[in-house]
Amino acid sequence: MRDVPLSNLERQFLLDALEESKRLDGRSTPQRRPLELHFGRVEGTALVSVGETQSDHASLVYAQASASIAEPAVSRPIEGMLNIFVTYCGSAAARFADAAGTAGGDEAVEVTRLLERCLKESRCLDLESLCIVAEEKVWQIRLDVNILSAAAGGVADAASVAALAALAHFKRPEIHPVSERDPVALAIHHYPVLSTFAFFNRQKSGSNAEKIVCVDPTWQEEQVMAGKIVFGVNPYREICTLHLAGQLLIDKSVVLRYAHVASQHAKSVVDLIKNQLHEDTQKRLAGQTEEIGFAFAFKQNSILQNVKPAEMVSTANLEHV
Amino acid sequence: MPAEMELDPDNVSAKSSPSARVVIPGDPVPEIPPSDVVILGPGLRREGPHAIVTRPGVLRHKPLPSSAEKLAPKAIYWVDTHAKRYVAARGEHVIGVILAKAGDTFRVDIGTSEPASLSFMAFEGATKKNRPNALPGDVVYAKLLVASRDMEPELVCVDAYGKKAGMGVLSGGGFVFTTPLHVIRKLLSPDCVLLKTLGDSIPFEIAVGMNGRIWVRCKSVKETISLANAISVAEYMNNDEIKAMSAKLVNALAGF
Repeated sequence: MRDVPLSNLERQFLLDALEESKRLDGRSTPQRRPLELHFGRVEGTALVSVGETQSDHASLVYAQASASIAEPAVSRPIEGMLNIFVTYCGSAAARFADAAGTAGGDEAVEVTRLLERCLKESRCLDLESLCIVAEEKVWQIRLDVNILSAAAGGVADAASVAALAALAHFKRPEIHPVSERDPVALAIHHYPVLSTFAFFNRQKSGSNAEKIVCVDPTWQEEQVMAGKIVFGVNPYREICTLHLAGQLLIDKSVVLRYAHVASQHAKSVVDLIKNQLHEDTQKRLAGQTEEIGFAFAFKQNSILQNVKPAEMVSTANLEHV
Repeated sequence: MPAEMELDPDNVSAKSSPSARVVIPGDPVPEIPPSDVVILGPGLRREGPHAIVTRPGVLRHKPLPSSAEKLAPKAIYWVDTHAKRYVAARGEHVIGVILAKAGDTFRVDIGTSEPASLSFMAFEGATKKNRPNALPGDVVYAKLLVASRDMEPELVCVDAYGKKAGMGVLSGGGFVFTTPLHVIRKLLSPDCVLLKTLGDSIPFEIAVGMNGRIWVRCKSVKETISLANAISVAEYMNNDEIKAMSAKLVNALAGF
C-alpha cells in the first residue's frame, strides 16, 4: 500500500494556518498531544500511542527489552551492553519504503541514532551493574523498538518514551538459581526523553524574521517544516541529545529556550512512566493478573479502537481553532 | 458494478420489510423476496441461486419505482460498511492528487489500490497544443470513466458535452481532508442536514469525492478548520445533534 501524498493545497493551507498560529488539530503551537502508555504482561514491554488514539490517526510504538549473557567489549571489560534496534513495521512504513523495499529507510536510521544518543550515550543505564564476571560475562540488554504506526508523526518522541518505559519495566534474572532470587530491575541513573520542535519559515517577511515553532509536529507538519530540533533532555534539565535537521539557522538563545520546554515535557513523561509503573507493580503484588497487560488496555477502549463513540462536540477549545 | 440477478423462489423464505440488520460475510439474505429481480450492490454477491454477504456491515435496501418492463429490477440491496479504502466505481466523482505526469496523462492518487490515469485531453477546452495547467501535487476533482476490477481506473474532468461541470483542478486555496467512506455517503444523502445547516451561517465552497476526500474553502483559515472538524465529528450524529453542533460552532466562531 502506498501512502496518501500531501497535496500542494494542504501544504499551503498548513502554512497559512501556522501564520495565524493555528494548527489543524486545534492545538496551539506550544501544545503537545497527550501520550498513552501501557505496560505489557511480560516484563520489559511497553506500548505508547500519540495522536487520536480512538481512530487510526495515531502513532504507535511498541518497545521490548530482553537480556542475554555475552562477552564484554575488550575496551570496556566490566560493563554490560545496551543494543537498540528500531524496526518500522510494514504497515507503518508505507510512505517510508524505499526502492529496495526496506521499511523505514532513512527515518529508521534517524530514529535509531536518536535513541542511541538519548539512551546509550547519555549513559542513563548503569552498565557496570550488569557485569557478571569481568572480561568474561556481562548482561547484554537488547531493546527492540517496533514502530507499528507512524500515521500521526512524532515517532522519535513516542519511541523514546516507549524505550525508556520498557527499560524501566524490565527485570533481568539474577545470576543465582532463579528459584532462589527474584529478578531485578535495571538501575537507571536518569530518564532522558526526546522532544521534537518543528520550525517553519514565515512566508511574508524576510529570512531574518523569527520562525514559527511547533511543538510535537504531526505527520503533515513534518512534511512541510523547514527544519527541526530534537532535544533529549532529562527532568533535571540536562541536555543529553541535540539533533538539528533541515535547512535552518537558529540562535543560541532559541535553543536554550526550547531546551527548557523540553525538560518540562521530560518531567511530565517521567511522572507518567513512574505512575504507570507503580500501578503495574501494585497490581502484580496484589495478584490482579487479569488487569495487567495490553489485552486489558484494549478492553478499556483506550487504544487502537477503531470505533468512535457518539459524542457531542466540545467547543471549549475553539479559541485555538 | 451492480449485478442483476434472479432468485430461485424455492429456496428463500420471504420476510416482510427488511429492517437495518447487521450481517457478516457468508450470511444468506432471506430478505430478498423470491422470484424478484433485484440489483445487488456492494457487499453482496450471487452464489448459485442465492445472494450471500461478502462484507460485514448493515444490510440496506431501497425499492425502485415500478416499471412496465417484466425484467425491471424491483429493489436495490447493498451492505453499508465502515471502510477507508476506496474501490473505484464508474461514474463517481472523486478528489485526487496528481502524482506525476506520464506521457500524455497524469497519474492521480484517488485512494484506490493503484493510481488512476487522467488524460491531458480530458479537460475542458484541451487540445493537443493547449495542455492543462496542472502540476504534480495539485488536487483535481474528477469523474471515473473506467473502473474495472482488472484495469487501472481512468478519470475525466469533463462531462459528456465536453464541459467541465464543476470538475478540474481545485485551486485558490482551501483544504483537503479525508474521512471514512460512509461519511461521504451520509453527507450526500438527501436526508442529511449537515451541509445545509452549516451553510446557513458560514459561507463555504465544498467538493465531495466519493473516495473519502473533501475539499472545503471558507473566507478564513479559522472557518475552514472549524468546518473540516465539524464534518469529521458529524460521523455518528443524527440530524438534531448536527443542528445543535452547528449552532454551537457558529456561536463559537462569532465569539459568543
